[in-house]
Amino acid sequence: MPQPQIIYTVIDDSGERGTTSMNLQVGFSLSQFGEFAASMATFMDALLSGKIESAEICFGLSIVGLTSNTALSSSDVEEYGAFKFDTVESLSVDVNIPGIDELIVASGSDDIDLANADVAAFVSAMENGLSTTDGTIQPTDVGEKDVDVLIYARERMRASGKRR
Amino acid sequence: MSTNGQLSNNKKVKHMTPIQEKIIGAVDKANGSASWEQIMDALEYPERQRALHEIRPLEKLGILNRVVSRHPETGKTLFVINRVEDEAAKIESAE
Repeated sequence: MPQPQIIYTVIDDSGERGTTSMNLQVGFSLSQFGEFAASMATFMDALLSGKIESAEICFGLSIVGLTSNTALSSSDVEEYGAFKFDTVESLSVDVNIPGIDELIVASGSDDIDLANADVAAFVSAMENGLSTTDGTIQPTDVGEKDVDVLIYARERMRASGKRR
Repeated sequence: MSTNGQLSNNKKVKHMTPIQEKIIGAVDKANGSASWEQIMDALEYPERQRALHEIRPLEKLGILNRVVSRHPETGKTLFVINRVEDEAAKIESAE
């Protein structure tokens, strides 16, 4: 099991947010990590004038196998691909991918080129899921409703992410 | 194996669009399993942007499916569109 990390987000009176994280031992269940995170939050709360807004558990994964995972000289995380999907219950799911390659943007527009094979493969993986050893894993919305169909895909610009 | 957007018993799926017919024609021309490039070659430029949207309903009807993977060593995307074998189910669903 990869090493888990708990990330707490703290919000202040003006609505600004800050985050802190802590790494944990491996070998416990998800519910045990959840129990730990809730308990630790009470100790942190005693130290804060701000409010703990959320706690997340993340598991770092190895990306050693990504063969063409390099930053090109033209790369820019302020350019992102905004993919909007509907779920089977017609609720929307947004997937915003920073550092999108300009080569997958249709010429003369802000549309992501859906004729591009890599784009089509990504959209198909989102709509149909990906098969794993013990079955297909399907992307969902927060209510676990399956992502169903692409609505649009466009290039967008934004300020650099400052999440962590 | 069927050809030109028709099922093997010559029943045509109702309401199939011209783009869908071309897509199925391309898959059949490739013996039931076409690469994305083969699908694109069968379409005119403006139609290519619609291909993903047109394939999805055919997939829901059980006529086609898409298989995607990334080659573990080259990192190249492998993406094919296949005919689904069970044609009886397709006809029933389509009608």
